Amino acid sequence: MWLLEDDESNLDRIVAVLAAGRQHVDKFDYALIDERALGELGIQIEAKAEPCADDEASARWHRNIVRLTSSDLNALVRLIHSRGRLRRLLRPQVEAILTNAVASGRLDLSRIEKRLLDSLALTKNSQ
Amino acid sequence: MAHEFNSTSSSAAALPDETLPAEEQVVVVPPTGFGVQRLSSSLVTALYLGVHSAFGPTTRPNLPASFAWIERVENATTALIVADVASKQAVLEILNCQSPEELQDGMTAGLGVKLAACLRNFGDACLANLATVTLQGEADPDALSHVLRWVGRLPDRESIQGRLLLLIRALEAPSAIVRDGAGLGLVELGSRAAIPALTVAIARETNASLRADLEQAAAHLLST
Repeated sequence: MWLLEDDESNLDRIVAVLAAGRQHVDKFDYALIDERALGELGIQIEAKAEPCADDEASARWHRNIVRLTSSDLNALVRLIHSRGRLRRLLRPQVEAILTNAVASGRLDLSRIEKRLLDSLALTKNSQ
Repeated sequence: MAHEFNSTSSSAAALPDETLPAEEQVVVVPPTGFGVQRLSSSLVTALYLGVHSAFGPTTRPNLPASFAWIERVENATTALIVADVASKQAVLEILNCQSPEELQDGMTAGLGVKLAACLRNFGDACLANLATVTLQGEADPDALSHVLRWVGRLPDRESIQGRLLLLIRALEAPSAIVRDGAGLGLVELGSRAAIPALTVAIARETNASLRADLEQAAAHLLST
């Protein structure tokens, strides 16, 4: 789970770090839920960085759900289903975000699969 | 008519596995259609007659347990049947190469490699068999969705028209997940020629969420 700022200014950075963990570029689906709605359900979250290609983003915005019970999980699923805003980024959009992130130097390239980096380089050369 | 034979070993000395000089080759097709093999006619004769001493140690593990028919390799009909059966087998192998848990966005590189090989080896037969599987709902929808994205993603210019037609047809698949995969595949293909078909699919789509996704795909292609 990742915390999206109200103005969504960190969206590209979150998408980049998650897309960087894949084998190849693909569409990116995500669901947005209000942080307060989680609190209303009594679901507890904690800020905790996890290893990824953008450690700073992870430290700032990655969240874990803790002490999740089966009833919490059911409630969370119902919340996402009833109030979650589903969004999709198509593959070309994800590719552009990832290419910009690589070019800006924000991503640790040693944590990205070579074939993914190669595909981004091929796209750049063909443009 | 299927013929059964027992391929267990006997105590007699085995003949060499290599084909005799100038020996005719025949094609053996098992009843399932899978595991088509080309064998020497002498070996097939031995199998049929139950002469197990003809089996060498390297040949025995690969022999079919029974066969539906055999034909001379030169027969053109057989060549087509063999290619179709083999391409069907290859398509099913693609669809089953990753477990459901592994079928995640961006994590299907192995599936893409297999599809590229199938297209290279079988061309239109590969696409035709994929279309059949897609429209008849014969395979896991998630697997099909990922395959259809790769159909659009492959860089092979020669097959672009065939792949476009397959993806357009897949917009009529019985599964919403597969129709979504078709839309994503058309985005990957990047051809504006798909826009009319997407427009028809959008008008026909009863699933509101999928209709929005198809609209997004069409809008993207319009913007290219």
